[in-house]
This record gives sequence, structure tokens and C-alpha cells, in this order.
Amino acid sequence: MTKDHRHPILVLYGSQTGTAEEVCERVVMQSRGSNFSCSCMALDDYNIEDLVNAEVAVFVCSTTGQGEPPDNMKKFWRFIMRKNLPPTCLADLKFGVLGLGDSSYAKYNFVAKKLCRRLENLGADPLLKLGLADDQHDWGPDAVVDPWVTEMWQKLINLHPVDEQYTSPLGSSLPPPGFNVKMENGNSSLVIRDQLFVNGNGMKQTYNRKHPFLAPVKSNTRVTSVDHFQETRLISFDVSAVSEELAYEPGDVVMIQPSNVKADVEEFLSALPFAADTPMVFEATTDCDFSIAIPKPVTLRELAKNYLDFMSVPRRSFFQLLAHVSSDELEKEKLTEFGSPEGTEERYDYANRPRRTILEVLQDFHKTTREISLERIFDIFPIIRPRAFSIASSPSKHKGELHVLVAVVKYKTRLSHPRKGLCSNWLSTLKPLTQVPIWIKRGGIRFSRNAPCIMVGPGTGIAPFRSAAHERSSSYSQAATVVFFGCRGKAADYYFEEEWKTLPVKFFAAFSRDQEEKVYVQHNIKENAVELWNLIKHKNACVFVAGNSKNMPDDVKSAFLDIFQAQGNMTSEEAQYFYEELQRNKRYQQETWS
Amino acid sequence: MENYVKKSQNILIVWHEGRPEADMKKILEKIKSNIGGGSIQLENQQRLKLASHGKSSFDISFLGVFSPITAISEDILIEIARIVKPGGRIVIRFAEADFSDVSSTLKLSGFVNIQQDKDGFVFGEKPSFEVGSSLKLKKAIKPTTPLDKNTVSEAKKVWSLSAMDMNDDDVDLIDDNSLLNEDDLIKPDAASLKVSCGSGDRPKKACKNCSCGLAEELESGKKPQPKAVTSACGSCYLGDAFRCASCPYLGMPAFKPGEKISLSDRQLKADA
Repeated sequence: MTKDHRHPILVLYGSQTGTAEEVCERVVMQSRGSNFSCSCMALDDYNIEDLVNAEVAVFVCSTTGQGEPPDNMKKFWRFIMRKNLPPTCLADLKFGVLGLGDSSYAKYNFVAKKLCRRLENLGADPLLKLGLADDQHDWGPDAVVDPWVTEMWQKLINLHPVDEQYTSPLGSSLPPPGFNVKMENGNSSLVIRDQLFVNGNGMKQTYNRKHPFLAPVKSNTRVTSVDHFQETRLISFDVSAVSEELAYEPGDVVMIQPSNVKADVEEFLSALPFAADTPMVFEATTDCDFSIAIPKPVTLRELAKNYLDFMSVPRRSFFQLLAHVSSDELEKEKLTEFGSPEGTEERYDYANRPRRTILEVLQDFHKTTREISLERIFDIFPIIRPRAFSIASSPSKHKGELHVLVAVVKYKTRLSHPRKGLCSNWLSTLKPLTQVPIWIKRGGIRFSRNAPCIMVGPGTGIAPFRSAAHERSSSYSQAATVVFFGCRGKAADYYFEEEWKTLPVKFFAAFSRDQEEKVYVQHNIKENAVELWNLIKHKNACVFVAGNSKNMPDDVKSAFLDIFQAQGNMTSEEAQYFYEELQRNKRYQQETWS
Repeated sequence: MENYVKKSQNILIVWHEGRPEADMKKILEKIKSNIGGGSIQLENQQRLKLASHGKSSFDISFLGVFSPITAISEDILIEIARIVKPGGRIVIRFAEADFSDVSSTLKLSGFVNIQQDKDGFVFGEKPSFEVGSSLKLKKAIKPTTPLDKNTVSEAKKVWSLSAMDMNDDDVDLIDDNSLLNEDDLIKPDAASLKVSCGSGDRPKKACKNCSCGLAEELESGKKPQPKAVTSACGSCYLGDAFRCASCPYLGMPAFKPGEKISLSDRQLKADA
């Protein structure tokens, strides 16, 4: 029991892109004012020793990559799987596991499934069945998340009924706000600079989400032909000041914290009833476990530009909160409908399917928007998430620089204005010298210097391989490099065309739309079956696949399985087993993105 | 035994090799006359599973009718539990058996309400809700006896000791793939992920103060007729959330009433 007699609940997550983290934040919001007190954090931030003494723990875990746990629970994973943990050590713990995954992947929700089983084997008592949320569901993960969380609360309430001084987590009344706001009046001579993130005082440090490096843009060039429908840009950042602290290797990933573009910020500010440039101080209330530090003081304009993700698609909790604050009959009725479980289909049709943004919803519900209070800003609006990009530059060849190859996301739904990817569109507008918050993350693929490498990277998937190819050539590596690239047309999007001619690699390009029949990377792979088999079987070669995750990785895998069967004289089972062996030995690695 | 059947029931009689003590024909006849229009299925114990009867198809199943049972396998019982209807019964005549042993075997196979009558017949009932996954044997190794507090606190000490050394280069890990069983590898059925898509089957909605007649058409159950593109209901300026399904302004942001908005050719064509 906590000091105020509320029951402590651990809410722990493993989150790669922030979805699991956001689910947990909503759970915490529900618990405000109730007889449950939630502590919410990433699994690797939790002091694992304490778990044996916890009463209730809720685990929300995504599965990422090829069936792996997200980065912020890798440490926890290696602990919980230790052989020496005895079967009754968690006997006093009640738990629930909610998995977030995508059933188009073979290892669908493996992390949640394994964790649930492991916890049971260690004696812990499940409160409710394992929840498996699926991106492939028409309604996305919320189709499972919402009912699972509801059931979880019901089970907890059964254990610890809510008495009158508290509100129920499942109640429909408005939970208390997460922040208190104070206006900073007077002192208008206070110059508020863009104090996004405070850089260290020149001392060497590691850069991360809390302390990113503000990298100036060096150049920002379009690399697809002007008449091609897809705009892709090569952006170079100046990292010469921090070449040691921001050291990277081919295969590594750069995290970029984007902001909203000016036009959207202006539209957002004009929808809200607040002054854009008054400095304010936000203090978190006791229940609020806020992972991002908000600068003090801060203006609404700064928040709109750098923090508030009003260009994302609203979730159910958004409509629920707005319904509460609304006093306009027509709008309140519609908001309540969208916020209710019965209104899920309507909400999906209104918001999710057309990818309607929070800003557009605010404009539809403009009366309610003017009733939003400042202290609810962080309850209502999610925070902008950082995005990951494979690094396209080579540390040796492009000294002091860091390159990313960015496909600018733009598409139409039935809404009249086209949909735009927040990060890619923001990046596309940046002029040289603009500062961008970045930090490095270890990538999913690692190149071995001495073994031959077979690299398959259609489209922007070529980025890590351009990095590796330059690095290998700069370090005079003797091992062979074979690159399979694919794109739509030689004149349209043949990335780094001139560079491949000068690099010591065997390069194969497939231009899918330059002729009548489609030619893809897998066709070129099959054509070179003999040589590829020789490299893999006799020269210890490693295979790398990077790019868009729809069908390409499976098509490429099929091509290799065919080679194993034909050249290696294997049955299809043997080929599959050979493929799995290669994976186990890190000789078949994949980095894919959607 | 024949007294336990009712009219029109489907009976399953599972027999095994052994010297019949009673006259099989006579027993069968008696059962037949008691069930009238029902049916009797005779099945040899060894061949029961091969027969693959449909699930929940029998009202009652007998074992040991012709000669009493000396041993019964869980496998057979589980199969019988599968093909007996919810609420249906199993009746077993044993030669000699310890009731508590028999009872726990029956429970593990999915039967409830295990009883023994004065003639020594053992009864069980299949629960009257479809049990589903609780019939499967769970892979989790949970202690079945109440835990000794000492055991648990010793176990917790091991955890704490282990946690003190988070440098895990030397620590052995289990193979986490061993945690998964066959069922875990099953992916959701594609149909279960689909929700009926809005555009086709869903009824068109009229806006709140509909004045174009769509609301009346919908109420009277008539299929809405395609109309020329006009707006008289006054809801068009409100935004997609409030517009009816045939609104020409769908997809456009909200605007002020009276504001001039030009519609593209695409938008001017009414939806069929």
C-alpha cells in the first residue's frame, strides 16, 4: 500500500516506436483519482530486484525486428531468462501481459507470448489471459488493447473494490489533470530562445533522447528525378564537432526528433483559445510520470512546434477527453459517440481510415476546442516521437558528416488534403545551418570486415549498404562485396548511381518499371545463384537485407531458399533449416521498415 | 444401465476385448426400446479416436456395459469428453477401482460432478458450457500444492542475489524458444482481422437536421436515391463528423456558412 492507501500497480513496457509506451500512459491516466497508484516506466529502467516484492505488475511489450524484444527491455529480457531463477520466486506476483505485434511477421508477438509463459513458470499468477494486439486488424492494435485494459481493471477492481473516496478507473468521469500551469507574467524581457534541449557545456557526453545533439544541416538535395512521383532527399548533417561522441558504424541508425512545420503550427495555434507567446510553467501533479522534460518556462508556440503531435491520428482517449470538456450539445454528442466502445466503427471510419489528423478533428469540433484548458494539454495531445533512419554515410569516407536518405511520405486518402509524413516532410523543408536533434542507436545489422557480404537493398534500403560499401573500400577490405539494388527506373530513382561505378563492388540493379515485365532484386539474385552459393557455402559470406518490409524480405528469402535447394542439393526442409542456421549465426541479417 | 437413458437420445457404447458377462444382445435391445427414436453407436475402445465422431454429438456414453473396465486411459476419456454434448454424461462400470483415483482421472479429462451410485457405476458430466481451451493441458509448470512460505522466500533470495550482478556475460540463459508450444505459432485467422468495410454494406447516415429528405428515405426503409448535388440541410459547413453520407463536401474541412467553396468535378458527381 502506498502512503495514501492506494494499491500500487507496476506498469512496465518494452516499446520500440512508442506505441506500447503510449498504451501505458493511457492506463496511468485512467488510474488518476482511483484507489490504484500506477508506477510506469520502461522495463530496463525498473530496478528488477524489486519485482519479487511487487503485488501487481502489468507488462505491455511490443515485438520488433525478427521476433526480438524492443531496445528498452533487452536488459530485462536477459535477466528474466536466466537459468538460475527458481520456479517459485514470483509466487507473490499477480500479472498481466499485453503484447503488441503484427501478424504479417512470422514471429508474431513472440516477446509477449514468451514473457507470459516465463512469468507463469516462475510462479507468478496471471490476472487475465494474454492479450495479443495486431497491427493487421482493421482497427489496429486498439481492437485488442481497449477490451484487454478494461478487463484488467475489472480484475483489479474485483481484488480491491473502489470505495467512495476514489473514482473508478473504469468510470466515465474526467480524471484529474496531469499538470498544473502557471503563467509567468511580468518579466517580459525574458528572452525565450528555442530551448528545446540543453546541450552540455562542451564536455564529452553520450547523446540520447533526453540530450540529443543539435546537428546543423549541411546540405539537403533531392535525389529522385523531378518528374518522378516519389520525392527522396539526401540530407547531410555536420557532425564534425562531435565525431567521437557521435561515432557510428555502417549499419547503425540515427534517431531524429522532428518538429511540426510552420504552417501547421500556425493553424493549430489559431484553433486554440490561448496566447501563443506567453511564457508558462508546467508542473507535473503527483500521478504524472512524464518521460519527457518540458522546458520551464515554455510558450504554447514552442510546445506546438516541438512537442505536441497534433498531426497524428487521434485515439479513442482523445475523443473521450474532448467529450468531457465540451459543453456544445451537438459536438458533445458526437464526441461521446466516437469515444465509446460502441462507436468504434464510426470512429475508425471518421478518423483512422482516412488518417484524419488531430488538427483536422479540432477544426471539425471548433467550439469544443475553445474549451480545452491548458492543464489538460498533455493529457489530450500526444508527444512527437523520434524517427529512425539507417545511416547512409561512411565515417571514413564522409568525415565529419552524417547522411540520411529520406523518402518524403505523401499520399491521398478520401480527404481533400493529401496526407504527409511528419518527419520526412519537415526534413524536406530544412535549409542549411538549421539545427536538428539527433542521436545514434546501434543498428540491427552488423557487417563483418573480413567475410564477403551479400547486400540486398532496394529503394531506400540501399542506405546502410552505401555506407558499408564506402567503408569497406576505405579500409581496403579484401573481402568481396555484392550489392543487389532495385528501384523503379534508371532515370527516376537510381540512388548513388555515379558512386557505384567507382566502388569495388559487384553491383546488380533491377529497374522494375523500365520494361514491360517487372524485374526485382530477387530475379537478379536467382540469376547469380552459382556465385552466391559459392560465397555462402565456401567463403563464409553473410547476407543482409534492408528496405521496405511489405513483400520484399519474403521474396528475397524465397530466392535464397531456391538457391540452397538447387545449388546445395537440399530439400525444402533442409533449405529452411540452413536458412535458420545462417540467421542464428548472424549470417543472414535483416533491417526492415514500413 | 439401461435405466439411465432417455427417449430420443444418441447413445455411445464403448466396448473393449474381454469376456462379456452379460448377454450383449439383450442389453442392447433394452436400451433400444428405452430410447425409442434415438440412436446407438457401438465403438471399440481402440478404434474410438479413428472414428473421429463430430464433437458434442452424443447425449450419454457408456463404458463397461458388457464387461467391466479394469483400466481406462485418459486419452479415451478426453475423446469421449469431446464427442459428448455439454451437459451430457459418461457412465462407467468398473471391475474394481479406487473411486478417488477414478474421480481425479475423470476430472483431468474434463468431466465434473463425479459420483458413484450404489451399484458401483461411476458417473461424470461434461460441463454445460463449451469449455474450449481449459480442456487442453497447459504447459505452465505451476506447483499444485499450496506453497510453503519458506520455499518462496528462499526462491526470492536467489532472484535478489542474481539481480545484484547485472553483468550477464557469464550467466546461462534458457532457450526462450522452448517457452513456445505449437499453439503459440498459430497466426490469427485472416477473416477475424477484418471488419465489414464501411463503404459497401453500412447504411448511409443522414445528418441531424436533415432537410434533403434522406432521413425520411432511410426511416421508411427505402434505398436512398442518388440526388443532384445540393445542400439544403445546413449541415455541410460543419465538418465531416456531422455531414451525412451523401454530402458533397465530404473530405473537406469545415467552413463558415456562406463561405464560397468550390467543389472539384470529382466531388460534384453524386455517389451512386
